[in-house]
Amino acid sequence: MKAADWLKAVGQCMRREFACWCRKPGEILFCAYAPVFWMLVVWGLLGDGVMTHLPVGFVDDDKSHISRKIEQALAANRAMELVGHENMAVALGALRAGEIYGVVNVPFGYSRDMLAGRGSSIIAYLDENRYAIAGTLNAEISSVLSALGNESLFANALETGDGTAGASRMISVVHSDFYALGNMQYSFLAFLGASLMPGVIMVGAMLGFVTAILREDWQKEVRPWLQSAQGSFSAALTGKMLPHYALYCFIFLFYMAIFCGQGGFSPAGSLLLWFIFGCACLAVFMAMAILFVAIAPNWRFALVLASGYAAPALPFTGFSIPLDSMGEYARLFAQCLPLTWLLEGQAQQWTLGSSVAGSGPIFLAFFLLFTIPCIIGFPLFKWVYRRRYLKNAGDAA
Amino acid sequence: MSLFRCFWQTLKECCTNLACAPFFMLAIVFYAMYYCWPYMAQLPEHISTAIVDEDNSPLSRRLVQALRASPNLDVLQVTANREEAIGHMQAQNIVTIVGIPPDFEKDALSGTPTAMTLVTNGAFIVKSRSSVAGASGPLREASMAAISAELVNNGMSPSMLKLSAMRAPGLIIQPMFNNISGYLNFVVPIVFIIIIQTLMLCGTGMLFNDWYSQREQPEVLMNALCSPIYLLAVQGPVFLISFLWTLICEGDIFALHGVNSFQNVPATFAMAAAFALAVSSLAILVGLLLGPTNFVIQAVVITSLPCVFISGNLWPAHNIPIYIRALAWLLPSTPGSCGMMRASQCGATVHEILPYAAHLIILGFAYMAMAFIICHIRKSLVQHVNTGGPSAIWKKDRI
Repeated sequence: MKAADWLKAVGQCMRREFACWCRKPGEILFCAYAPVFWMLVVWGLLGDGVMTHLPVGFVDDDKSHISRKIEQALAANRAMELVGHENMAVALGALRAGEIYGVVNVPFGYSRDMLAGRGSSIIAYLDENRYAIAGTLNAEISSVLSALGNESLFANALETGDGTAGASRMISVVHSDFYALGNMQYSFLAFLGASLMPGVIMVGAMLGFVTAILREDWQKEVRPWLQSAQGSFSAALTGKMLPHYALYCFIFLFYMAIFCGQGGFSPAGSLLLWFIFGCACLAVFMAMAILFVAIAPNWRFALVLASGYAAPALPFTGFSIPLDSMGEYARLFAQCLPLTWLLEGQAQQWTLGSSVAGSGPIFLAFFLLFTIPCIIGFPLFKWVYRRRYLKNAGDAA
Repeated sequence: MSLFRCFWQTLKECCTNLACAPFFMLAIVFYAMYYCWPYMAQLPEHISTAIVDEDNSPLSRRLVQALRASPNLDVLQVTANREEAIGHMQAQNIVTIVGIPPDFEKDALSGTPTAMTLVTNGAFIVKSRSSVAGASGPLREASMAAISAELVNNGMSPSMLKLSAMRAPGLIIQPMFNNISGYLNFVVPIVFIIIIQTLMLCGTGMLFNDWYSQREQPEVLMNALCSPIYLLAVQGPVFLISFLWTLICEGDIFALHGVNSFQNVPATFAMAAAFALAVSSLAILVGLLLGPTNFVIQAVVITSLPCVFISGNLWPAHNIPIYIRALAWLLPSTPGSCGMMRASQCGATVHEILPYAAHLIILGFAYMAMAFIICHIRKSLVQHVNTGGPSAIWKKDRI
């Protein structure tokens, strides 16, 4: 087939796809609106991305002015909302029942030991089954107590007689500065929004691509579909997939607009490169969709494969447990998933401002992940569909 | 057809019909291995790090050694060239750069303020926090040593210095219910409840889809559509399978992965039963609503990821806007994951998990009532069609 004829066939197939798609409100609802809806739910649930007013139990067994000072300092922290408990048994019961996220206990004789110079410790019991929340509380309680420690150190430094400026210089002679690029305030909105929203889009896209191909099977219109492409499988698949691909590219762009525009997480690098990574990832999912339809014995199994491939991919991306901490084989497998590369590429442009050259391995990975399923999937798809639907030679034409 | 036969026929279909058996029988076994795989290491450690040592003094070398000894960090490079380290970070070969500035030792000894920097990628908070935790120990040690030296130089007696150090409030963090603070121990109990919900909804939806798409609709379906009691007989196997899988996950699968569970046996059984009731009711409703279409998997799978986060276990429920919390309350996975975690991992008593169980039971009855109403409407439509009425639409457009 000549290039002009092929393009004409693609155009015809696209027109047909639009017409079929518009006649299926169910498909539009579940494959286009639903991912956007859930993406917005994820974005909305995180608020401003900072944990505040988390109920934390406080048990003051010491009942001294020092313990009250500690209580005041903890209560002043925005992450916590202290809930007084009579004793540890009641507080731990509330922790077990999930009413509070942690318990801070000032033990008996705390102030006596402190003043006597024997030293004593406050105990924080944190519900590590809610790891992210416990991590935040750990950091906040530590910082409050560290500030109290610095206060006491400052008071001692004042005793050297160098005045406030001298004392301040003494206690900050060696200090440390932490920078979290792109997310200095450790916003969970930035962190989870940047991982979950692309995750939801990619799951939606995968199911959308597979559904688009399977629709012809459900409606028993495989022959008319192939006929609209003048019998060319490549034109038929291209014409069918392009509208869906464009839709999901647009949804990805919408996500970027929400994240960078409304969220205010401006990129250190190029928005265009970021968008290209998104489009490349979608292209990989499209190629995988064709492969799954080709290898699955029936349409139900194709959907099972597609959802099994796309839905549990997020933990492998390293957004939660880092890739560095995973086992060797798990890390190798993670690198075979397009979402891993998308999040890497996105982080490069959002927080690190990498150049195009620095993104070379990511482009190469996307290229391989797209090409390999195409090489296997397309001929297989052609063979399977010919065998299944076009038993007589030249049927499609 | 007797009630028991209806129940038995449905159970047989759930286990053998290829349209739904992968969801009911195989998928959880697959997820038990696959989903836990990346979390096997439990702790977010070995964060790839570069140290830019622009001082190259005995003190900076001691710091480098201390940083190398931290399990949180994997020091891949020690260099004096900051640009080189930045290049590696931009290519994502490393996650963190620890910078020791020029004249660090000289400044520390002479009392001139100086700072060590730790730059990390804020896109991944877990990595970032882990590297800060790994570096903060050696940094604090160096900092305290310099401050002590400075205070002694300015006339503070060592005994007074020791006393002041003892007066700083110490902190002991006691991790509860997940004593090793393991990532797998935290994620898996939450996610498995959502996995079970997703698979049961998909499985039931696909079973109904298969029934609806047969040329002659099976007797089980016709009976279920006509009588609420038969609909309950169809729900029975889904309830049983959900209940058993929940217990198997909490028992064998979690034991295999070393996740603590069954801390309170009666409460865990009660939660599993309440969860299975709510899930099976929702599954029947989804089957009735989406079974005639081919969009069960598309509609259900996309919800699985947000369900994890709106459950209030990863991101605190207190910080979720009320309209999203209201949406979360409609899903069995929200009270299911919270209650099951309380009962199985934390050892909460039956009394303590009662609010979650009651929530699930109310959801179960509400979804079942909705399923009855849908059946009633469908039955009326069928009768209308049979008596020659014009609305045969639902039957024709079921696919």
